Amino acid sequence: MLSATATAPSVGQYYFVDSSRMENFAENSPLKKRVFSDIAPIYEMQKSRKVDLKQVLNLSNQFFQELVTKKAIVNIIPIKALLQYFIISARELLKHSPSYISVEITSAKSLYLFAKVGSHNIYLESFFDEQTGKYIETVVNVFENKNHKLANNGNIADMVKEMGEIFVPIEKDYFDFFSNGYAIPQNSTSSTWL
Amino acid sequence: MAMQYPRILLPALGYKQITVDLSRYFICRTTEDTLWISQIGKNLPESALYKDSKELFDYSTNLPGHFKLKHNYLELCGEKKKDFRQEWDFQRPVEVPVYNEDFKEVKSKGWFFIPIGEIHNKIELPITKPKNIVTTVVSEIVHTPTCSNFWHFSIRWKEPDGTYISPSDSAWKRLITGTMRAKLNELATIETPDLFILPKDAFSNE
Repeated sequence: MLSATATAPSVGQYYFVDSSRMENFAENSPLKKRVFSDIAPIYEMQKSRKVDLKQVLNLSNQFFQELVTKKAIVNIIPIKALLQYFIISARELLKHSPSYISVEITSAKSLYLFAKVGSHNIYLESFFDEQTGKYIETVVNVFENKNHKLANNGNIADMVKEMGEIFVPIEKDYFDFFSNGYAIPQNSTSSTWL
Repeated sequence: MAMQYPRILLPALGYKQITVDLSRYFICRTTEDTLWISQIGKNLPESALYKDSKELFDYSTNLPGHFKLKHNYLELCGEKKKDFRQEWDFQRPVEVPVYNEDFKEVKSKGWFFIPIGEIHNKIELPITKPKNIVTTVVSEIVHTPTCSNFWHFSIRWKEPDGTYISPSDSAWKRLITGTMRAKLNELATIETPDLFILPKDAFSNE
């Protein structure tokens, strides 16, 4: 079961904790507060997963810019829904320590995230109804060195699971390597989102 | 001095549909600007790939060779724009576009290349039709000359019965939209590849 109501710390908490690193969120507009508040779980995750904080902030800021510049689309798709699927998608992609990640709200009434993870390119696109703005489904595409490894559509939980299965052997190797002398707790990969 | 519309772009009587194997050729897509170039190899913004996602069901491109790269700068305009963009029927003679009336040169345009061999009959996607009939659509690159550009090709999606699907087939459109965009992002390149000139017997009966 998916949930976007994870135990996000309050906005103020992060403003105070990391105020010097939150330049992009310096303005106290209600929308920014809301975006930041909902993005906080990603930031929370980076503390245990060694996700690059700068990357998380850049992605969050990019998402915010999209909300501001794609007003016509945001008028159809509720911000709450965009936030929910952004958080879920971003968390899942950030889990795999991407070297590059970006987000876009598209004319297809979709929330599109792209990430480069090693030799893989991942595309996770969640579509919303063009009239009602209600979430419909997610399409996942994964390429490895330009070779198409996965193309599927369905609910986001199933799609991120399928996507994750491609990376399980890779991450297992990673942990096996580090477990031989470098202690990284395996349970640090756990997510409360799915 | 008024610019002349390149004759090589115009369909001529005696020309025929190009059906030869083009797997070693590239198609090129004209873009409105070149602002996206730094994003190549990462993630091209939607604006570089298309204006509207519906275009992904009938994706407009050109076959470079006889079509020179400088022809990407030509833009149709004026009242007859729609007529010049119409698909040519291989029968009627076409009008020559007039500079500043029917076409202009826009030097800020850009383009990227896509290898035909990586798209044509290469992407197969399962779709579910009414009564839960599962079938497969395949990507195809089709010669679709227009009244002002004989070298126009389209990427379309074909059903097993030979019909091309349209964006109104909404049950399937999301998988195609998402996959097509991803594929274009993977394949788009700005470095000019080896461009082959199509032999005359491949497009002309004369």
